[in-house]
Amino acid sequence: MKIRKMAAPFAVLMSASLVLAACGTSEEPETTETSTAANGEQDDAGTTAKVDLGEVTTKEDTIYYSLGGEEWLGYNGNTPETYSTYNSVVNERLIEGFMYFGTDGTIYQNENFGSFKLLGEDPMTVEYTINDNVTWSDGTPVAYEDYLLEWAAQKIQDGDNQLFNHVGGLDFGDRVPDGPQGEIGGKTFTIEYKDPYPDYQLQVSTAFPAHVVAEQAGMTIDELVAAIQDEDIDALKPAAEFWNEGWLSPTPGQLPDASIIPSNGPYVLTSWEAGQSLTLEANESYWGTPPATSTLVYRFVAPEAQVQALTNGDLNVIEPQATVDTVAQIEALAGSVNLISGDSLTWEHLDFNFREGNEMGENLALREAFAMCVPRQDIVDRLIKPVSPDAEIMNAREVFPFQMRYDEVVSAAYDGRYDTVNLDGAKAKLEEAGVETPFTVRIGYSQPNARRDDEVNLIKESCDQAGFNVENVGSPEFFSETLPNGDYDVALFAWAGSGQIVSGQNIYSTDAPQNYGEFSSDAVDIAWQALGSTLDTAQQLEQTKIIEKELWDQLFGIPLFAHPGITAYDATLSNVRRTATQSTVAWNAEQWVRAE
Amino acid sequence: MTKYILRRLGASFLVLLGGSLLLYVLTINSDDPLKDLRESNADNREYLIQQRTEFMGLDQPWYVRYWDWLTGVSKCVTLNCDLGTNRNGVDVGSLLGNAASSTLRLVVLATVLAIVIGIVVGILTAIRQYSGFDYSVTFLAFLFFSLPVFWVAVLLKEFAGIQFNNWMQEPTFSPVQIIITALVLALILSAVLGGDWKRRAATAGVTLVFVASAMTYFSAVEWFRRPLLGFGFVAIVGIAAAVGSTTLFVGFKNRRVLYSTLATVAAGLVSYFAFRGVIEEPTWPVLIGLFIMSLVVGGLIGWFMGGYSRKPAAALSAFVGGTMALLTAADMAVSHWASFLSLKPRPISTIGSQTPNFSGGFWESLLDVGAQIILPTIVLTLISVASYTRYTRSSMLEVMNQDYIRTARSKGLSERVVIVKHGFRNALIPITTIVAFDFAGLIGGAVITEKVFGWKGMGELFETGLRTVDPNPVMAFFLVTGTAAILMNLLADLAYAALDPRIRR
Amino acid sequence: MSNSQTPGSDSYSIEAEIPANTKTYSQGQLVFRRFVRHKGAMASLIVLLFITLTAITSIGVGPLPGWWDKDYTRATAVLDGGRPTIGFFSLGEHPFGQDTIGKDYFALVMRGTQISLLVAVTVGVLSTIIGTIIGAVAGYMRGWIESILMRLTDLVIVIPLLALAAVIAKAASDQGVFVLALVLAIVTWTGLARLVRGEVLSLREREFVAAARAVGTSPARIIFKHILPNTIGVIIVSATLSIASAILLETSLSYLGFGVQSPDVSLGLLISQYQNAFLTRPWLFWFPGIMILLIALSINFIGDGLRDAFDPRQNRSKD
Repeated sequence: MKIRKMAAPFAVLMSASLVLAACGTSEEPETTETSTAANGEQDDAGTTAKVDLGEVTTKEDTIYYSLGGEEWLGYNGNTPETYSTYNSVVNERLIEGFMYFGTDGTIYQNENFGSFKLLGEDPMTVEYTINDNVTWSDGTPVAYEDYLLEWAAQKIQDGDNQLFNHVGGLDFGDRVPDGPQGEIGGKTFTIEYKDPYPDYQLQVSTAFPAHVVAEQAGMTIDELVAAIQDEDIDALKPAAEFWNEGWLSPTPGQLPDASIIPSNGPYVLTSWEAGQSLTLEANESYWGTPPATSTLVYRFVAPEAQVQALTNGDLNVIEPQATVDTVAQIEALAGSVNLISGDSLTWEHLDFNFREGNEMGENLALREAFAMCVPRQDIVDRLIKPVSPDAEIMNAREVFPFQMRYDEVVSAAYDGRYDTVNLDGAKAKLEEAGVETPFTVRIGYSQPNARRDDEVNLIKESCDQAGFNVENVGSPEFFSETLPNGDYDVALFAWAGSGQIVSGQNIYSTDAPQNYGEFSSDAVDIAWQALGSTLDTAQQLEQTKIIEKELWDQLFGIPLFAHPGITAYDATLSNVRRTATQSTVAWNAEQWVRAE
Repeated sequence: MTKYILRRLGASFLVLLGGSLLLYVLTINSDDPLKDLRESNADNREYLIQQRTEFMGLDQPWYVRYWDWLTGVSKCVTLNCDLGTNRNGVDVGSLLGNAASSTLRLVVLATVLAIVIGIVVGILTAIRQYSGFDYSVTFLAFLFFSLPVFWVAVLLKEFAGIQFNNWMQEPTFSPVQIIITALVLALILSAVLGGDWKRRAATAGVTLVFVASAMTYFSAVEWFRRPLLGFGFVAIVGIAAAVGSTTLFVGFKNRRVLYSTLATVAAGLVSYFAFRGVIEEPTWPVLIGLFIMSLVVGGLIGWFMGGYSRKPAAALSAFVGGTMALLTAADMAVSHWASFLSLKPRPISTIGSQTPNFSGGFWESLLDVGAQIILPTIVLTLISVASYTRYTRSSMLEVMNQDYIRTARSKGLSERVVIVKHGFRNALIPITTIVAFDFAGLIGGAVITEKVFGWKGMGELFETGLRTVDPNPVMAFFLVTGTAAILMNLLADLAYAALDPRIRR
Repeated sequence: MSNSQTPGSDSYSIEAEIPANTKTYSQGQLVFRRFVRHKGAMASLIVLLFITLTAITSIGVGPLPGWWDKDYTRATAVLDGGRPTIGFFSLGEHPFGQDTIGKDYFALVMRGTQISLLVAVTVGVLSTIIGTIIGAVAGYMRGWIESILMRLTDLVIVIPLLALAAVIAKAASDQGVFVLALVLAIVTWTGLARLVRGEVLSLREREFVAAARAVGTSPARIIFKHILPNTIGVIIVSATLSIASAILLETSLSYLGFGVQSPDVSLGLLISQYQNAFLTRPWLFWFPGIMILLIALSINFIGDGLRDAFDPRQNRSKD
């Protein structure tokens, strides 16, 4: 749980602007190719996308699943308070959108729902089409006004305050000043971006039912749309109030009235026992392929209790902590329980400190010496492989080993020089660096974290032989004190998913907000600029290679591995598929079915 | 007395207030409430931090935040509590409602069980001081309160939960299991009942044969899948309760009492059939009503048949009446075990306090809730039972060494009268204090048990609150435990005064 | 428990019942003799000493090396899935097995035992000192001093022990084990304070205290020289038992994640880290668990023996 906590809850899905796309997502949106380079993640389905099951009749059955003990917070998971993985594993069953993530993070268009395409690059315009049969469970069609409201929620301000309490802030409004263009009840709309935006595929996906908001605010849809288009704040206030409060469920166990939480997905919410479970039943007026199983029960179970619960049949699908013991415990149940292990879109790395006066940051030879003695293979072999046998060292920052472009990027950027420990090389480099040995290196990380304790132990074991004196300065205040104050030489932590195509710019550019080590390189800055302003995927890939190479050559840091994850499920179930993304195993829950 | 209580309550209120301030300040300073966000690389991280800071009032000084909380709580005076929200915007008041009900269910049951078992065993060990039984119980008591709670809980979940469910698929005993169980029970019983070696051997022999044959029978007919107690069982246990309680409290020779309790058993057996239709699918009010009725009827029978010993007759008959009601209910519940198993083939879940969307009737649901509460209750009970046993034993020993006990014995009173009337009553006085203290402590101690068994109770409320540096849930936990501690303390003092005439004022 | 119930052997009227023709003993000797006769307590004392000595000498303390050649921080190759090699007559390479990355589990458990014992003993000593002083001062001074001190006690009691400990321990979580021990001491003194106050309340009315007061002895001297020595039994017993409860409290806190933090090691932390291992790598779960059990059990027995020894008449198990 501790390990999971690092990354899971906050860098999530749902809202497009925050989504963790993988970096290999620069395909044209129409792409439905099967991924071939995926090695850890590709499963029996042979594709990272959802498979077409053909004709499906819903089976009367119940499947229990859990991904954590956190209580469900409400229908609106897009407020800063309710925005979490645990909420979206439920809500994603209720509201569908234009896109979803494949098991390796590839973006796929949800063709049953609708489609979108880039109309032009200057100005950058995208056209969205919702399929005609797509409706909410109350019969109202999903249409333009739903998306207009989604945009308004990230655009309209009341004085200095955002009118809607949307977790995405004002991003959408800033990028698309004029909002979606279309007609009330229309199934097509267009969006025009102020500047080219490479991550546009993530910007628009799901939307809440505008007709419910209008009704609850005591206005007609026409009035609501007009108020948004006129940015009439007073008229919008009741709507915003409902959006902010009406869809939250501050009293656990009390579901809102069914009429205000319609679903356009395969399931509807039917009951909620506070602290225990949430029941989803097949949506009878679902427009798409019916769900394979009639009832899903999401139980609130903390990760450490999940394996025993699976053993006992209290749960059928789980994603517990990936530890040696959970894996062994599940493997012991072979036959009745299936285990899938693999990587997740979170990666561990060592970052150097480039602040003024830090010797490590100022001296490349010193960094190289350190990189030579870090036992990366040993760390993966000892700490990751027991959990995920196919795990390998990660040699890039912007692509994951299980993604399509990984090999191409790595071969262009890195020659494998730090793959194995080279103590002699490290000693030589230390000499070249001209420092007194043993040279003290402070490694900082956020405690408590047993795996990182072990990593630092292994690094110390190796690097102390090369002439370093590794000092463990891990502490619970790492992120609030050590890192911002720069009281470290090497920081050990993980980035979740790395996100959109341009999210790395926040980390590696000069003076960027997440560039904690204050690294600065003109070459890298220029490449990021170029990457961020083009929509050409080939060009994006080229820039990524440049960035990766620079980061290796100047040794920004040392990537270690992608975090392992495991999924386990009752062997009588079919179609359960693990995904590396934070959509979690529930991403295709509507396809799960128990064999006869 | 009223003045004393009021003064005590006043002082307690101030203590509670001070405690809340202390805990509030400690909680909000215990860690960084933005820690998880700082670790995130979401590109709207700053925005999320700003939103949470605003939502939780992190930019306010501690006294302002505390004052906000206190004003909300002070509305409780008008029954309009506002305990604030947690950091996800969930109303803490409703969280607390759910949490308190499941925790209290657990703690009350565990406390009652622990008191009953602890006091009985404690008295037995005191009477049989320095016997093998005494030593074994002493050792077990120390063992139980030396056990790390969650360590036991994890083991119990595996062996009493999962393995029990596996066994339930085909509930039979192997000959080895039968022999070992029978031997152990025989040894325990012979040690408890005591006597010279002949009597012991006889006790052991009878127990051995009885247990072994019963287990063989149950195993052969798969009784545990289709268990039944039946009329005979209810009748036998009822009569045993009547005779036993009469013997223990007034002596077997008191025929009036004996006949009135036996008459109550008869009435109970009649109603066993008479109310069968009603309790086939009852509701809680009906059941509780019937239970009260059986107490009243028992009491009346005792009152009218009791003659010169009308008071003890009424009390004991009411007790027997209640026992009969419980037995009838137990019989009903047990007879629904088979249909419960068909709904839930693995009876004990390792998580949660009930099965989601359980579809059975009243008795099946009762069994479901019962099966869920059993393991955590065992854990909590084990630990309290250990201290109650020790405490009762020493309290009883101390009392039995008093002069008045010697006087009572020298008067020629029977050992039964000496132990029950003179000894036990006085030994009870200090026990009330420890029970009162323990109850409040147990709510706090349930934190760990709840966590292991996945109960969403007060413990979880506290633990999550503290982990996320979110003061409102932590304070809600404190409100309940703190108030309980103070009330229980007061109650203990009052009970003390009631039981011990020397400190009445 | 194994000693007889000798009635009336109050600590200050002890001479009254000594038959004239036997050798006379000082109170200390009497206590010692009674304690030695308590078989359970003596056996426990031996077990506890054995555990303590093993924990200290095996891996050494600080710079001092021990006789065990493996270090608890050093990761070595994992042999035979990390299974324990202990036999009836031999320890083998890794008697308690190895953890995930190949650290010697015997060394880890010994280190955990050291820390747990250190925490427990520190807590026992500190909370006893705090509790005794507060209780004695409150009981002797009466008046407003007593009011303040007892309200302070109530303040600590009113917050559930585990909760208060967890909150303070979390706040101090990066300060190391000594601070943790201090924290636990701050929350566990209340029981003893009440107990000592009760004793002092009755003692202060005694003639010898009145006499001391009459000759102008200072309150501090009366408390420490005249009153406290007469409550020594209660205090020692309570201190012993508080060590046992401190070990368990530390375990509970570690389980909740608010106790000793890795990379420090404690027994509680070890079992909570490996609670899921008990079916797959049972040794990781059982060895520290049994260690805790042994320590707590033997301390409880020793406490029971001490209680019987100090006050054979009043045979209570809890304060």
